[in-house]
Amino acid sequence: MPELIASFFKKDQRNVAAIVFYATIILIFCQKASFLADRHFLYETMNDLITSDSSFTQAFTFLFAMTKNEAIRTFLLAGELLLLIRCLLRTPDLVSYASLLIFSNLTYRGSYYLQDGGSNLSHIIQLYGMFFVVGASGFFKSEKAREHAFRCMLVLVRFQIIFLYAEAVFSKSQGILWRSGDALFYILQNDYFSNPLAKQIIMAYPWLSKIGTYPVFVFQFLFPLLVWSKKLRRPILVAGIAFHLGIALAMNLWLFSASMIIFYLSFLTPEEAEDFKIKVSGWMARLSPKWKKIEG
Amino acid sequence: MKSNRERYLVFALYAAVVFHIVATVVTYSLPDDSKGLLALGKAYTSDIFFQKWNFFAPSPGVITDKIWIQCHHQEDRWIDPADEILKHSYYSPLPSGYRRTYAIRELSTRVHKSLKAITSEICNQQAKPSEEFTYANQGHNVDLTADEMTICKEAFERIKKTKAYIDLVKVSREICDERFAAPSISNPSIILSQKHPFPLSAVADGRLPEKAYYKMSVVDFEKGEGSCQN
Repeated sequence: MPELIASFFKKDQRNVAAIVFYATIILIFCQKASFLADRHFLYETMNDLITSDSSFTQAFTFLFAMTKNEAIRTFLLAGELLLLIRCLLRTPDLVSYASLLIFSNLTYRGSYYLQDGGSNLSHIIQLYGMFFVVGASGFFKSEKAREHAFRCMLVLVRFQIIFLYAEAVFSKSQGILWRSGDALFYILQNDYFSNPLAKQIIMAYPWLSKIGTYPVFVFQFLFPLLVWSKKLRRPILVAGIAFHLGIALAMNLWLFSASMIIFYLSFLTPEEAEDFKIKVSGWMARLSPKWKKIEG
Repeated sequence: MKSNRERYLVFALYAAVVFHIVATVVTYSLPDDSKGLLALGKAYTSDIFFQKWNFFAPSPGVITDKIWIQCHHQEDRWIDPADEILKHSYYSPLPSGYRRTYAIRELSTRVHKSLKAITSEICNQQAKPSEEFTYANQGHNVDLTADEMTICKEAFERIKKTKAYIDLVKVSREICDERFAAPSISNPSIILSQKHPFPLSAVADGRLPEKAYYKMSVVDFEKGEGSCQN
């Protein structure tokens, strides 16, 4: 049985789940805090973008409609930021996290035009965070039951990443530009998704497009298979980090890349998560002497 | 586990996980017009777990939809608000206001799509492939073709009532207000344009001019004239 799956059922997953959860909260906080400058642009509801006749949308139409009022939008954004800070300072309980999800959902829907794939992904992972809160908040008395809740969260985060890659490979295999290896050449000509320097390079050396396009296919196909292997897990994760840093640099998709790299943390083993926790605590202690008190 | 209650709750957690995974995989591949239980599943995934990362596949978004705005504070000057932000990304990975470019892109793309649909419906115009772009299409994706059509007056009237256009005007107005630190008296004039990619075949033939070659389609809402390309 692959190492990651074997350790998943045998060992304590609390640290792995906690790292993913808190990293996601910090990511969402940074993202939403950056919205403060663009709060005038937060006025759109995505009602018309999703299944218009769905019962869910209709049931909450009045809530979504609220986001059209600027004062309510500002209140929701400020409330969400405060709840995110609360999550970071103390283990969230079910009520406060559910409130955070409601606030986040409304500001997310109310700021559709400012979102990218990264915000979408972090929003979905934030919903999965409810499983972590169930495990960490004292909802369950027994340690074993808590452990199951942490596992549930990790299963969903890992599924999300693998589903994303699998779906991307399937979609790309249908596209002529991807199959011909010219996709990168054309994508980098889109002003919104290209760094001007990357655009200049690809226009001067168009053959680089094939070198950039085909490995994307190969990586996205291999990731869901190799991430479970004892020997190849680390190399494929390092390749993934390099791949997403490349996307961030060449296409200016920083939030998407940061989200993916953060969600890779769900593939840590419990031992690696423990080491990671010790290192981060060490860094924090060096940064602030008060950290030890907080941690204690 | 100490009690049966906890056992049942843990079972419910796993049931929720299995349901979510199955629902996501199954309903994500369903057509939008699914009915009955499948429609409910579709609503669950599309409303709560809406997935938005398919911009680059199977057909990558290669056309840059742009707007030019003329704020009424400065009568003669047309500005490209997205370009003003994007040009800073040469030096800074995340230039200030970068996310606004997403709003401009999303809205201008939607208005373009609506224009094309409305023009073919009201103006009774069939899109004609542009000769200039037919060679770009050889061996490549239809996305690279530029179908031209002239927009009639009725189509302009209709497009101005669409949500995408109203939102685009709102965004343009906010850009002008912020730029001149004063609320606009009237709506700014807007020109919608599309920047098409330089075809690879032309680069291979050494036909890349010093200045990048772009095909622009221009729609001037103020004058009510223009040609639309998909």
